[in-house]
Amino acid sequence: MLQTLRQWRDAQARTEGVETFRVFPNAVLEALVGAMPGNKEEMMAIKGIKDAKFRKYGTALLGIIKENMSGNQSSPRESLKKDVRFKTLDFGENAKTKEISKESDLKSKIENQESSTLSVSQFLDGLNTELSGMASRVEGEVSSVDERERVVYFTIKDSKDESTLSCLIFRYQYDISGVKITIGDKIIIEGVPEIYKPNGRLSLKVGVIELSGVGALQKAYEALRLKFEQEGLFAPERKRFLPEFPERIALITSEQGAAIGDFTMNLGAQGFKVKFYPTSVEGKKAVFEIMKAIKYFNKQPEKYDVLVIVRGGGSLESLQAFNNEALVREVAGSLIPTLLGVGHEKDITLAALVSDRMVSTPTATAKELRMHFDEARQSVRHFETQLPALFREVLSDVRNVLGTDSEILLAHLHSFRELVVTLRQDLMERLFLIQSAIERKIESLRQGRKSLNNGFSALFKRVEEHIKHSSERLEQYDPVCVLRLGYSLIRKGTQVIKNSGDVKIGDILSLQLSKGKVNAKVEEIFE
Amino acid sequence: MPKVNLSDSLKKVQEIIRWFDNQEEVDVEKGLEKIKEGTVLIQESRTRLKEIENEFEVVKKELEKE
Repeated sequence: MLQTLRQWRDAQARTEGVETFRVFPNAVLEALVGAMPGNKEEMMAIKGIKDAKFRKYGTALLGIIKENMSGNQSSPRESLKKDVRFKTLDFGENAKTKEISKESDLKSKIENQESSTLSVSQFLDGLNTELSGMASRVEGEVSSVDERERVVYFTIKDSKDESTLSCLIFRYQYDISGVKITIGDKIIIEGVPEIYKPNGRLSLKVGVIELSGVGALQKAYEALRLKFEQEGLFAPERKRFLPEFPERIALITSEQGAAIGDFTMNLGAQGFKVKFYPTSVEGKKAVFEIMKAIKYFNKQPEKYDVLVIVRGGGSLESLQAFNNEALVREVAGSLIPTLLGVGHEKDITLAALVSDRMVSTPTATAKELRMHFDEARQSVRHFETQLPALFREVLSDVRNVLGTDSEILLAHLHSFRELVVTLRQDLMERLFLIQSAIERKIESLRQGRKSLNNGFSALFKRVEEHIKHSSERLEQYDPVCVLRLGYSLIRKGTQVIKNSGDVKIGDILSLQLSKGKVNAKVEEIFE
Repeated sequence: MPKVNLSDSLKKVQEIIRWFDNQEEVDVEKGLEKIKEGTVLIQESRTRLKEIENEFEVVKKELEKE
């Protein structure tokens, strides 16, 4: 039962062009299997199924559950489902149509089964259930456009006749599609037909819009390219450098195809830690998935060194996802530096142009990532020989310098020695001259002393003779000698009396004789 | 072992080589220190550059969605 529900859910998601969990997450399917609801109330009691979901899928789910429970028992709606057969356009199998059955007439069947008469609503629900399996890809020319806040209504008409198809697309899907439709545009749309019950009108609920034809695509590409250019999204100053040695790689590409193989094969064994987020790489589904993957990695940008998106080469049409405005802006806004390797024939995709670094193929992308590792290996090998060689060179230089220095030193030493010898000789000569001069001086002094001695002796002799002569002459004038001749020396006190006027009568005079003294008294004076 | 920053290690080795190239009179003691430093850096870089298998991890989409 669960398997059947999953298959139904996956098919429904494919037809709507949305993720499976947007139809129903696994938990709801499991709850359905557990509860096996037989009516709307029971089904609405399950968490995750509300009015909108029930309106959209309720009938189909109840049908599947009933079919599984009752085996061959058929309800009116089941009869309807079994009997009403449409030509279906199977998008998954290249729009191959298959006629299943036309065995009965719907009207007569309903009339014949009185007990199974349907209300209008039930009938339309039944139709919608069938229509939900008729996802189609349709090409036509836009004949009207009515853009509302949440929904865009438009019609396309057939190029050969005036057949017209009403279409609607939700605004968020329209914005992401990157196509701005105007009347006259040739477009290809993908969607699921549905009858709007209030007015019974059939519309194609569109999930994807693409421009049809290379010319239109080229025009759209150029317009978008110009827009991004004017916004400065291609400016070189926006480009960030990829790490020289990236290790943690966030990889976005398809699980299938040659790109992943080429990428991993050429990555080499560098010890990269690759986190791989598989996505579609073609069609509108790719836009949603790649954007989601970029968002996923950018939740924790610090965990990755580079965000890599690769895809093999293709035409402008096949690479449309990478020219989608929303996707391009997601790439431009990535916090992780981006490396795009999306192959192209002529025009580089806009996503590649806004990336920090772009190369042309998945192989080139891998080589870009490993390039510096290869260069580093070469450098290391080079350094391993260069560094010791440099040191040897240095040692050799030092040895040479030492050799030269020692020679210079020896030369200086030699000169010094010669200088010492010369100085010694000079000193000896000077010493000899000094010695000679001293000796001469000594001799001169000796002679001087001798002369001085002789001079002194002669002088002494002359002085002695002079003294002797003077003494002899002095002796001649000695009063004692005169006294001896009978003369006397008369004094009055200490005064020598030379005139009679020096004395007066009565004075006592001292008379010095040759031998002895005599005092005499003046009695008479003779003038 | 601390994580080797290859870029820094290789730049440092290049700086050492430039140092040798620019020295007119090399200080042998300092030169010996530089050689030792360079040898360690080269050894570390060589170890990091040994071929190591890449690790691949696929994002589990189902878990991510829920």
